[in-house]
Amino acid sequence: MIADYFRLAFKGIARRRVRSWLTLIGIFIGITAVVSLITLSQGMQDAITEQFSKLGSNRVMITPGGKSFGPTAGAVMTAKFDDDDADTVRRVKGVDDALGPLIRTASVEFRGETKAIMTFAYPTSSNAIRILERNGVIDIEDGRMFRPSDRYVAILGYTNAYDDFDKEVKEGNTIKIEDYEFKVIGIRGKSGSFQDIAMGIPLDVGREIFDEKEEVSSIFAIIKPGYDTGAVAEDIKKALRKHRNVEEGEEDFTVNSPQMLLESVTMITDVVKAVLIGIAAVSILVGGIGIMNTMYTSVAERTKEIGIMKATGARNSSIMMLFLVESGMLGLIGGVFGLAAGYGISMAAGKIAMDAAGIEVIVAVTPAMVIGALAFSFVLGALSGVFPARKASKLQPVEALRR
Amino acid sequence: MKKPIIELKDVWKIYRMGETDVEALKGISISINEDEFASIQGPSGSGKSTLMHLVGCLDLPTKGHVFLDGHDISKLTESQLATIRGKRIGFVFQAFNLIPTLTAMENVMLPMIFNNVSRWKREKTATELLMEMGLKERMNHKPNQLSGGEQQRVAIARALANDPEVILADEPTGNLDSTTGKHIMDLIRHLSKEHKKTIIMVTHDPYIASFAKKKVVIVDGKVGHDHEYLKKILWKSNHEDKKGNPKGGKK
Repeated sequence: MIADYFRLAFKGIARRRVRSWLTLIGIFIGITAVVSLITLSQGMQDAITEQFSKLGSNRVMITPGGKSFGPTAGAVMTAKFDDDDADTVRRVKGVDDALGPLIRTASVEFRGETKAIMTFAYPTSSNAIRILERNGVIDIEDGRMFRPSDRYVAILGYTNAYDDFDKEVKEGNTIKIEDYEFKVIGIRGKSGSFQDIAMGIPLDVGREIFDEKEEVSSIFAIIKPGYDTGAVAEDIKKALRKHRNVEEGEEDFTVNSPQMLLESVTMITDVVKAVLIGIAAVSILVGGIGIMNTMYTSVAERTKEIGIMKATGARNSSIMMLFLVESGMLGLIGGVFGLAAGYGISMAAGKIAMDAAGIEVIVAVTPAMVIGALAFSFVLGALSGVFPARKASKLQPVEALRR
Repeated sequence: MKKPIIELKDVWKIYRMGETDVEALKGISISINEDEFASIQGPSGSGKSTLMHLVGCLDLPTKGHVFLDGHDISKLTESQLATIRGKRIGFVFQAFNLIPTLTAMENVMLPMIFNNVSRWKREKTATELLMEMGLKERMNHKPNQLSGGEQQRVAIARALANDPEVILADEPTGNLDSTTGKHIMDLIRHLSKEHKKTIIMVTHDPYIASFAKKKVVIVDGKVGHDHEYLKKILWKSNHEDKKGNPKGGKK
């Protein structure tokens, strides 16, 4: 029987095609927003979590310079770290070890070709080598790791070795870094991160060729197992404040852990989500009111038909059902198109993210979501139709027939 | 001895129009037997349409009782009245009153949907009825693709859909030319004779009323008895408009 009501309702909708389409727009936009929002934010969340889990959650990066805005911005931007800062970090409770590499862009020559390559000059004490190895900072594919006795040697990133130069750089080749001759002792494996485009050399020779006696570009701390990364990051902040003699809130350095980054990214996406949910809610509300309006008009236009149906045996409940199904179907059709459009937008946005940032955002529409969105839009439509449908069902047959 | 299927006992219908009460029916008592073909005649404003609505369970009397098959409908709920309308009464209206978006077939099936008849049975019954009405070629046409006579035949088929005992026809030929009207009246007589339906027909046209066996005349909300007076009234209503000008000419 319910199938007959759907058939009758569909004829009612089809009769006023233009008005029905216009009515659908509100619901359509709302469902589009909700679907694209949920699929995209889920995909982004997954992608971001994936990126950070690659980096590892037991690390803290300390970079010189505070926030790049505010009254003290000029002063803090020029701040630098030295070995003492690295030692301060190393002494904080819960820190397993801390490394302070010197980071520069170096001009590198190989067989007559010169390229600018990001260069990390790492400490190469046996302890530092252990940290680099154990935490996967340098993951050798070909060749070998640094030794404490190494001097003019380099470990190349995957891209450095295979793509940067016309000729492939192999282990054992000689390259010129800032006019000093270096022997390539190892090539890193492909990681999918910035490590692919970065080259490593020992810190001592780095200080020599870049003429930097003291500076440490950033400090990289490994947190001991069993300690909360966030809490230790706070302690590091405190210790560095004391060491560098700055007040809280005026730090000339920034402490970041992947977790903290993840949290701030999550916070941003949450704000975006809240705004979009707001837009979606308003759109859905307006859509619902639109459906209600259309249904009221429809009831007024079809008063006579309602009278005829009542004369031929339609109960109040049958009329109520007929109009509820009709308004529910308006919502449902809006939902179907909204679902398709929302999925399309998510796919497009995912592709843009892939092309622009190389982040793979997997956009997934689950069956639960399809059913949920369709059920929601049908119920929403039906609810919007409750008052008009009740008005229709309460019409007096004689009055209705007189129209 | 045939038993009455419809009985009205001292039925009053009073409408409230603003501050004043309008008495549409003033104590009408009528009895119509099973299988009878009755006409209700009266000038416009006489209350015959109101009477029709009460008999058709579309409305309830202000005072008095309406009995259908011995049961007082004045005490029924809207839902029960709807069931009676669907199962026991078939309506034929002056303006045909088909649903414009539905085909002839779907219009005939509509009362059966509300009466929870299976799809298969609905299609079978509707096809048979439309064929009986001579509309075999017209089943999938919409009302606006049908002539007036064809639309009224679809309406008659619809009235028969749930095989009701009573057919109520309200000016069934009012919107048709005389030839088509005659054809429709032949069909209605056919319902009376072959289908053994009780027919109650409202009309102001004495020729149309002449098809009926029993004639009831309503004047000013009462059943009329003075035949000379009634003839005059009816002649007047047929040949003059409300201002007393002769009919025709303008229309």
